[in-house]
Formats: sequence, structure tokens, C-alpha cells
Amino acid sequence: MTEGSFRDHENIVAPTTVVEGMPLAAEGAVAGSGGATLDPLVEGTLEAGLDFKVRSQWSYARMRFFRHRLAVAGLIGLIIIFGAGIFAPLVAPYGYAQIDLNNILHSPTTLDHHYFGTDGIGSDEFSRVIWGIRTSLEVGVFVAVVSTIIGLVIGAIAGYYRGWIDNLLMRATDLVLTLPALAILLAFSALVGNGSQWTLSIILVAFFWTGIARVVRGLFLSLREKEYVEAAKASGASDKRLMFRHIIPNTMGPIVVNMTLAVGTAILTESALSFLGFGIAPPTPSLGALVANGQSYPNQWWLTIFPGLVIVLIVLCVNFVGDGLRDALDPQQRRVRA
Amino acid sequence: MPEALLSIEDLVVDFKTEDGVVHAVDGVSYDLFPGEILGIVGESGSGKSVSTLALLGLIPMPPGRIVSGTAMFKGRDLLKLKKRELRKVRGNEVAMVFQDPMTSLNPVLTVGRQLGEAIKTHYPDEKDAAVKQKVIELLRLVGVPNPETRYTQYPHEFSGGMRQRAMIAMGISNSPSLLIADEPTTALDVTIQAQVLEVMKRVQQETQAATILITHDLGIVAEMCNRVLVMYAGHIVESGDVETIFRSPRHPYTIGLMNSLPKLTEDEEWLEPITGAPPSLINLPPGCPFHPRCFLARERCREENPPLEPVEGSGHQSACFFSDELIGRKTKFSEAVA
Amino acid sequence: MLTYISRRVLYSIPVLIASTFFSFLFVSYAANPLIAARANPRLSPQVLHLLVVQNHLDKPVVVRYFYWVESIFTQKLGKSLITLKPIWPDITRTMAHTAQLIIISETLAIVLGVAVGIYSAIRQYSFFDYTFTSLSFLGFAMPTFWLALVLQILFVDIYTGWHVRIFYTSGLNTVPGGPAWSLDRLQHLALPVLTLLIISFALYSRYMRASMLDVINSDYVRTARAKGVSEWKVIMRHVFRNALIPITTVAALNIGGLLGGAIVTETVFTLDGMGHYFVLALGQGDTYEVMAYLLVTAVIIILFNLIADIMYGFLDPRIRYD
Repeated sequence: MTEGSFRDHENIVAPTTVVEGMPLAAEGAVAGSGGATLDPLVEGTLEAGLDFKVRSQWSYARMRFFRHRLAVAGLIGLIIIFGAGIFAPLVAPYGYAQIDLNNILHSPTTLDHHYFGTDGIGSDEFSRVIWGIRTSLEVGVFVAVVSTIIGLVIGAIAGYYRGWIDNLLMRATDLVLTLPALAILLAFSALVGNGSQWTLSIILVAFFWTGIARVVRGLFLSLREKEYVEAAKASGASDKRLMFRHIIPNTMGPIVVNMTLAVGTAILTESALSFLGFGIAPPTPSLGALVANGQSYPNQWWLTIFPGLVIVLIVLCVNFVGDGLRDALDPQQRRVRA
Repeated sequence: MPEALLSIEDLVVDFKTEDGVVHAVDGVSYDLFPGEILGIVGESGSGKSVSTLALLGLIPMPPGRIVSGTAMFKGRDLLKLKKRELRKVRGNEVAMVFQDPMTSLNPVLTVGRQLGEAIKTHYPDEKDAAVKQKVIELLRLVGVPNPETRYTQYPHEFSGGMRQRAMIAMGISNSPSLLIADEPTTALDVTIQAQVLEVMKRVQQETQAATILITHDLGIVAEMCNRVLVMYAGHIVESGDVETIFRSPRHPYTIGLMNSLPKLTEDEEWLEPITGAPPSLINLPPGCPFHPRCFLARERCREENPPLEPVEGSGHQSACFFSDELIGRKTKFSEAVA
Repeated sequence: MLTYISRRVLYSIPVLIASTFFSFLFVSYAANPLIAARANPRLSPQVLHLLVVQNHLDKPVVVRYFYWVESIFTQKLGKSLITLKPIWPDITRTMAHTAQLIIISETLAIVLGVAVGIYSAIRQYSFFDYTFTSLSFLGFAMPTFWLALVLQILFVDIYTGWHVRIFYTSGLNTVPGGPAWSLDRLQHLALPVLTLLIISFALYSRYMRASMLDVINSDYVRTARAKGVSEWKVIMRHVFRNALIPITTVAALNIGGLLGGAIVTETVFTLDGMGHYFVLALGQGDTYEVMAYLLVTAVIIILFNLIADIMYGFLDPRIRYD
């Protein structure tokens, strides 16, 4: 609370807590009895015929993840949807810009694979949606990964070394927060963008990294005060070792969760920008642009509903997976099954 | 033989968790007489806190469950009382003081208001001014300086020791016949501990309330209590009056506990911890819960769970088949007590 | 308490200045008004020259910033370079409309969100809880523009199908320039409000629920129960107030998102609001109109953050003594 700014309550915005050196499932702390004999507890329980497993941190996390039905469902959903996107050339019956003037504004049907109907120039909506998924996937993953990397580096330095870098980061993010996110992004892409998917991705990265950096900074700030860091420092560990060996592994959980959720946010943002006409422009496919296109045909509901529905499904699945990861990677957080 | 104020018979409390059922309290029976101070000693996980929380119905009922048992208090079974009846008992005839006064007090309400609440809940017709007076008197009784000013302050403005005194004041505000103190000094500095214990002693003498003092600190037991129960893995393993237990303990766990304490009056080369680790309460070893770590363990210990049986000396009980072998066994404290 | 507030206010001023400065730099660089003015076919050479002199368009960017700041106070933000219309009347008019939209949505979202959050937490894992948790997940996943369109289509279909006009799907009033608090206006605002409401509601209900659960399991609630306080009083007196504290942060931080949502919603429903104004100005590359919007939104956000900080100080006594 020393800064007096309520914005320091970032744990609200990114509700994550830190994994603290998860212990092995069964500890055999043998004090005072030398060496090679099995810990009496271990021996006792083994003899009693009881089975027990020693689990590593990651398989524990994996086990917890798969207990979440929603997270698993989300994962399956993502595999299907993103799979369709990745293999678009094989899955989509038609090309994105393929025109068929004999078949315009057809409602959804199984005839000719027009599952989502056709649009004003006869292009198959189903195919266009699948191509759009591919773009969303590329943008989402790119933005999430790159902004996380940048945010991690800068946030780590700021949180660990503090000093002017930290100040600079905090002031800069404070500034950015004084304007509505969409407005800033719109301004950027309107004035600098050129309809290319990659320009937009870079613009999004330039904006997203600040959020991640703040979260990472917060984590580092609290972790460097932890006793085990102090202990390592006292035994002569260098800064680099402290950071890599002790602090960063404990930030991996929240970072992975944030990165996952960022995919969803990036896709939502890109589609909003493309919808308003300031994002990705044809010929590059975009789900947002498809919805915008559908606006011109208010009587053909399938042109607006389906692309948007797909966006909803993608983000929903991403959020389920992110939620599952959050529970899996953080045993200390109260099991509030959201 | 005076009549027991509280008579607990075969209390069993379970918790259902993702990893299995935790048997927190596994068949606990004891009596408490008016005006006496009973200590309950044990490690974390021994069930000492849970057994008392169960009396007031303060265990979250999913996932917790009172499986069986009775707790007769003034002719009524506390465990079978309806919610409304139980609420009349809480803070009134049976009061509780908790471990961490910082988190046990509501940070957004003044201390005066919270203490007043304890009184007004059971005496709603009392005038506010009268309640305020009583609260100030109580604060004075427990040694909080300037109680009139302190009345309007918030918990974070109190020091740790003062907060705990306020908690004690809250506990005795309605002159309970039974006061349960759950590790009241564990969160405090040693010097403050002494002060708070002093207050508790004084308060107990004035109110003559029967007190259950839960702690893991044998020193506190020696200082404060008339009788003591030693708990391990949800069972009582030894019980008796304080002098006897310290002079001639008759359970391997008790002996281990006493020997593991450093002796501050002499040089010691090695400390003697109890070998092994506390058991998993989900997979308790069969037979005696302590046998994997016990230096007396035999075949029988693996198979049967020793009941709490009287040993020589009045009121002294031990849950060990081979307690006779411990006769005459000296611990570090034997000389101190004799 | 007073020092706390004044410190927060003083801190806001440089933030506002820096924020507008950097925005101005960027916008001017990306859409150089001098170039835009020169390219504007509507301006005759004399008018162009006058414009350049009046707005100091030939001076360096930093200088122009100060002139722009000056124009805020002396000329009420001056005139647009593209349309030559004065900016102030447009901004105030659109601001009023957006304000109406946002205030109604936010108030409803907070009230409903908090109520549902509380009940979900008390009745955890009940049908109510599961239903609303699922709904909030849905709310997080829906793009605002799509939700707006779905509602629009739905009510257009109701109108064309059943010939009953329940809510309007575009514009602010049936007759432009109509009264602000008439039934007609409310019928027009209903769908936009519903759009923003649903998305914000998801946020608030989820955070309130989480906050409630956090507090319900805390030690001081256990103490209150141990004193014999009735469950109702425990919730209202101990849990609720503490659980509300983080929500002020969330609500304040959400203002930026709300304004962004307003941009989209006003575009879909063709409302004469600030967001729509902004999008149009961007499309035309109108520097000063864009800056006017950014200035106003920055002020709004900073103001809301201040209010939230102050409310935080009220709710949590630990903060006041910083």
C-alpha cells in the first residue's frame, strides 16, 4: 500500500498467486538415523500393503488439470477448432475469396457443403469462417507469446532491480491506463495500420506487454522478499542464479495462465478492430471482418451469427483451459471453482 | 468428585478432500471440570484445534463432518444442538479465543464495536452507553492502556499483544463458564507471550471459567495448566495432571516430545528429534498411529490400536500397550519437576 | 484522510498532462494536420493560410501542444481542421449521450453484479451459482460488437415478425434531438444498455463472488460466528463490507473497458455518442477532434480512478493512515 494507489491491487486484475516450492507427496525426513535405510514411515506403510506414489510437481499439476471437466472440454474444443484452422486448406471446402454468383445469399444447408450459407457474392461462409479461424489463431498465439516474453523480461528486471527501470515501467503503464484500451488501439491502427495481420499483431503486442509486465513485476517484487530467496542469497547465489533458479520457476504458473488467457483477449480485440474497419482487411481473412460484412445483410442472419459464434466458442474454450491451468498450477489458491 | 462441566465421548470428525477422507479427530473422549485449566498439546495436524472447533460448530460442514460422538455441556449435547440454540451458547456460555489476532479481528470495524457486538448479540436490550462502558471496563481488565481512546481505534492500530488482549476481553465479555483458547500466544513474540499468559491467568482466576488451552508449547502447559491431554494423529495418547505427566510420562510420544526440546540450562551436543514424519491423516497406518516412529514398537502395535487406559496414579491415562516399560524413564524435565 | 485525497489529486495532474502530451505527439505525427489541411480540397489558399497561422500548424509539435492546451481554456478546443466546425458543442453533446448510456449500464451492472455475486457465494455450488457462473463465462467470451448485433437482429426480427416495437435498434430518439429522459429515449437506449450491462455484469458478479468466498472463509468471520452472531448479520456486517472493497478497484478499472465498449455499441446502434464521434474523426484523420476525444476520456478515467481511491479510503480504514 505504500504507493497509495489502488492500482497496486493488481491481484484483482490478474488473480494469481504463486506456487511455492510444491513439496513431494511423501516426504521422508530421516533425522539422526544414518543413510540408506528406508524411512520408518515409508517402510511401515509399504508393509501395511498400502500403495503410495511419489509425484513430481508437473505430474501433480497435470493430474489436477484433468480433474477439471470444463478445462478438458475446453482443451478438446480448442484442438478441434484450432485444428480446423491449421488444416484450413484441407478442411475448408472452398477458398476465402471464392466467388459463385449463382449461389448468393443462400441460407445454411448441407447442399454443396454450404453449412453456414453463402454471402453476397456467393462465397461459402463455412470456408470463410475456417480461414478466419486460422488468422485468429495466428494473431492470438503470436500476440500472447511475444507480449508475454517481452513483458516477462521487462517486468522481471523492473520487479527485481527496482530503481529507475521500475519507476519508468510504472509511470508508462499508468499513462497507458488513462485512456480506453480500444481507443488507443483504434488510434494506432487507424493512423499507422495498413490492414495487414502482422502490423496489427505488432500493434497489439506493443499494447499487451504492459499488462503482463505489471503482473510479472508484482510477482518478482513479492518473491524477492521471500525467505527462500534470502536464504539462497545468504549462501552466495548471484543475482542471475536467484532469478533463474528460484524466482522465475515460481512465476511460471501465473505467467502460463496469463499467457493462455491473453490468447482469448487478443482474438477478441483483433476482431473488434477488424469489425470497426481498422484491423485486418481483405484479402486476409478475419472473423471480425466477416461479422462486419454480415451487417450489410440484416436479413441473412447466418452471416453475422456464425463468425461471431465461433469467436465466442474459441474464447470460451481458451478461458476454460486458462481456468483449469490456474487451479492446476496453484495448489495454494482456495479451490474456488469458478 | 465434582460434576464434569464438559464431557466429550468418542468424538470423530472427518474432512472430505480431493485426495481422500482426512480423519482429523478419531475417537476423542475426555472430561473437563469447572474452574480447571486443561491443556491440549500436539503437533499441527494432531486434531487439537478441530476437536474444539467441533464443539461450537465452527467447522465448515462441507467438507467437514462430525461423524459421531457426544459433547455434554450443562446437560445438553452441543453436537446435536440446532443452529439457533448453538448460537445462544457461542460467545455466551462457551467462548473462544483464536490464534492470530491480526486476521481474527475485522479490519474495517473498530475494536470497540466488535467487542460491543459480543455483548449486544446476547443482550440486545442493553443500552449502547452501558455496553460501551462494559467494553471499556473489559479492556481495562485485560490491561489495555487508555481504553477510552482504544475503543474507537481499529485493529491495525493495536500492537499484536494488545490485539490478543482485546480478543481475550471479547471472549470473557459474557462471563462464559468455558473458555477455549486455541494457541493464543503462538503468533506473538516471546516477551509478549508472557504478558498475555499473565493476563489469561489473572482473568481465569477472577472469572473462574474452565479453560481449554490448546498449544504445541510444553512450556506454556507447565506454566498454566492443571491437567493436560497429549494428542497425536487425532487420538489422545496420554492424559493426566501436569506434574505427573512431566515427572513420569508414560507414552513414547510424550517422552519423545519432551526430549526433543532443547534444554536451555545446559550444553547439549545433539538434539533428539522424533524420527520419521507426521502421518498422513488420509492413509493412517493400521494399529497404533504412532508405531512407525516409536522406539517401543512391536508386532502388536502394528495390528491393534491401543485404547486409553489408566496407569498408576490417579487420573493418569496412556494409550500404549507397553506403558509399563516406561516406568522410571527419565526425561530432561524429570529433575526440573521433582 | 484529506492529505490522502489531495495527494491523489496532485498526482493526477501530471498524469493527465503527460497522457495528453504523448497522445498529441503521436496523433500529430501520424496524421500531420498541416499535411491534412493542405490536402483538404475544401480550403481555398487564403483560408488555408489563415488556418495555418491561427493554429500554428507550421510550428514544431511541442509548441503546437502548448497552443492546443491553451485552446482548451480560451477557445473551447477550437475548430476541426476538416469540417471547420467548432469542436466544443459536438463534444459536449456527444459526451452527454455517452454519459447517459454509461451511467445507466454501469449502475445496473454493479447493483445486479454485486447482488448475484453475494447470493452465488452464499449458495455456493447451487443451481443458481452454476447458472450464473456459466453465464459470466459466456459474458467474458462474447465480443461486444457481436452481442450488440445479436440483440439488434433479434429485435428487428421481433418487429418485422410480430409488428411490435419493444426496443429500438438504432438512434437515440425517434425524432433526432428528442428529450433525454423520455420513454422514447429509454426505448432506444435499452439495447445498448443491455449490451454493456451483460458484459460488465459478468465481470462484477464473478469478482464479487470470489471476493465474498475469500472473506467468508477468513478468520474474522469465524470469530464473529464464535461470538454467536446470526448468520445474516455475519454476512451483512462482516462479510459484505469487506468483500466490497476490491470491487471498487474493479469498477474503476473497468471504466476504460466501458468507454471502449461504448465505442463499439454506439457504432452498431448508430448512437450520437462520443465513441461514434471518435471513430468518425479517426476515419477522416481529424487531429483536433481525435485529441478532443482523448482529452475528455482521459479526464473521465482519471476522475473515476480518483473517486475509486477515495471510496477505497472510506471503506478500508487501513488505507487512510498512509
